[in-house]
Amino acid sequence: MIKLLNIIIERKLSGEIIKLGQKSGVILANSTFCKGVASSRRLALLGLGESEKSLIHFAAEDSIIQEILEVLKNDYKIKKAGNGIAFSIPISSVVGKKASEMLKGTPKENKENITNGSENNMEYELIVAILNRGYAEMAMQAAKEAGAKGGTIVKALGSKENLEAEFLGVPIHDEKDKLYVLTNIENKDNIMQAISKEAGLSTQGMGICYSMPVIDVVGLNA
Amino acid sequence: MPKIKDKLNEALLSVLPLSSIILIILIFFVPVSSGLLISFAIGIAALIIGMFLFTYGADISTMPMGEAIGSYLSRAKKLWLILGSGAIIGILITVAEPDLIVLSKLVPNIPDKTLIYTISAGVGAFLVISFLRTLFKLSLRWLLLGFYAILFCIAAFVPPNFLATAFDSGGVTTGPVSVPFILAIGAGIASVRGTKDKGEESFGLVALCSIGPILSVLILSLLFKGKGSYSTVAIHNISSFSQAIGLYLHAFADYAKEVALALSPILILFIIFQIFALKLSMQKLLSISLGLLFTFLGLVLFLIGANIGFVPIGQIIGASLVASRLGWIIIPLGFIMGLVIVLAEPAIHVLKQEVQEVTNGAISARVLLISLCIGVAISVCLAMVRVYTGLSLWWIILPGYCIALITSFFVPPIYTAIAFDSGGVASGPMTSTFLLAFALGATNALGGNVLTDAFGLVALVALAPLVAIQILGLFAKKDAARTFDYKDDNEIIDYNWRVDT
Repeated sequence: MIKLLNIIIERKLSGEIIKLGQKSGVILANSTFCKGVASSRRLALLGLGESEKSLIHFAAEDSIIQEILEVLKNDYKIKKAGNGIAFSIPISSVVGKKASEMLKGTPKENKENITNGSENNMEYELIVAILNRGYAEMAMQAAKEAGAKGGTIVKALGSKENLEAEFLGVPIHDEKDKLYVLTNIENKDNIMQAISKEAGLSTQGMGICYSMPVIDVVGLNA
Repeated sequence: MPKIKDKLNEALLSVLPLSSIILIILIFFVPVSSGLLISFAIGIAALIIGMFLFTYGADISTMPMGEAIGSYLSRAKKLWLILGSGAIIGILITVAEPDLIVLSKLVPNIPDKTLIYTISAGVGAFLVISFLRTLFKLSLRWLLLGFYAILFCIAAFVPPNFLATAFDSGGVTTGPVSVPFILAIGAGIASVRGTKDKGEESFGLVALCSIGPILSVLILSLLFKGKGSYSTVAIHNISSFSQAIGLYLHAFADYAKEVALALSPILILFIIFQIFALKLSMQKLLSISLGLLFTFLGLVLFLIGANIGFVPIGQIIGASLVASRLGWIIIPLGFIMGLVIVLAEPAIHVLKQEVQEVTNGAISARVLLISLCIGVAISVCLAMVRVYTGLSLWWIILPGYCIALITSFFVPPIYTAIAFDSGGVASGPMTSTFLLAFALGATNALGGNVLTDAFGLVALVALAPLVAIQILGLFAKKDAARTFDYKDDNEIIDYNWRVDT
């Protein structure tokens, strides 16, 4: 089973974690800067509700992923609240043999393949909201009031279909925020409705909010 | 609250190294009165708190304001609006810059008002040029080469007394208020543009804006020829703690007025943009206003600490060290102080943050800081050589800029942009107060010409990063366009993950 492991962790640690992944055999690894938000309205006002985080992606064979997760749990205490979270999304297919090799990574040979070492029960969901820039913080506060523990904001650009959006030959994008909230299934609907009410399509936030199943969830106190 | 802890750590780490070096000198080599020591200690505290409040405030006010305005200008897609705003922003933020008023007093023979307005117009014009550069994708290295060539041609005809002041003015006018704002505008404009050169487009605005003041002063000094003179500020004699406190409280009102004046154009510009275009949420506005308050308090504390606490100490150390038998000691000492002084420049922390964000960590803040420290150390060392020997500024500045401009053709453009930006950033309030006072004290004691020997210091500090950061770029790996030769490798491989579980 090939998975995409997502790790959201303190920015200072991202270099270490990427090295850890590569040492474990991951070939496709990348990271993006993001902001962690666990804000109450008062903290947000002071600009204190956010922390600098990195979102790291590893694509690899399940055995490699499990190995990394173990290290994250033991050495980085990722199970404790606030130390970061990790979750996986299954990869269903890829085009090309070479690309497939890269996706799989290089698992260690002597290690027997741990099958179903993880609890692949899908009791967690990842909520993704794509909103106009500046509305993710508000959406997050609403989500928090509806039971979310925390969220992550990644800066994004939206592209328009029409070519009017070009200026002097350069496409000009809309500024968007992507908000990720990891939650257990019970709270999911409440949180999504709260986000949509605060910053959905009928508001200036123009947010679209969807959810997807994730596995291997670590670090969410539930 | 990890953020407060981080910022406080940063503030301590940036102020303490310089303070401890000075303290060591004071204890072992240059004894001063206990009153001055007390005043210096208060200065250190003011600097630390000021630095903390300033970087924290800039993070939640100046930066988001600038970015919002920049990205709006880009998205508005109206050439006249972009260029008009550029001119107005450039002029307004420079007119109110507190350092400019100080500079106008230093430049002899040119009427204060004339100088201030000419320099402001210069910055406005160059901000417009830097917007044009982004929009029409002009090459920064050729622009810099062209403008510096013009600059040096004019400088050849300028009397030597003006040369140092002119080159200093470039570093002086790009101060702690304007730099973060201009940096943020640049990042904002580039952020929504769908080009692959986003990194280099985000920087380079401060670089071009630093040319404006130099050009203005050079041209003016051709028109108002004269000899020029300078008199040092008298040192207050402080004998007790309460007197020191009194001095600080007295200065507070003055600096509060200055900083308020400097911040007001940014606030006014932002309010206009907010009403007509940005329409940020109420919560964001509240957080920005709070941030502005922090920036204001932070800057006032920082400037007071530097001017009241550090300037007299700088003058005394400079004067008494050269008067001792080991006068040349100021040259290695310059190197040591140069190593740490750039850490104590408030705008440096804004730049390093911005570089990290824009490059997504590809250019790390630590490496950037280290190369800046080494660069500035060499610069201050050279500046002290000048103080000690009276070497002409030409001997350093002409080869220096030649090296910087030639190097720009061998490094990735983003390094050139960041390097020339850092020039304006590194020469901040700490250099133009403490270090300049040190050089002035030493020059006076040696009986040298202040206008030619001590001045030029800021220019040298502004020159250092141009070379240092571009050298960093020489080591940066170039991403060669790699391709794999797997032409027919197009088959879909299905992992059947549903079956697996």
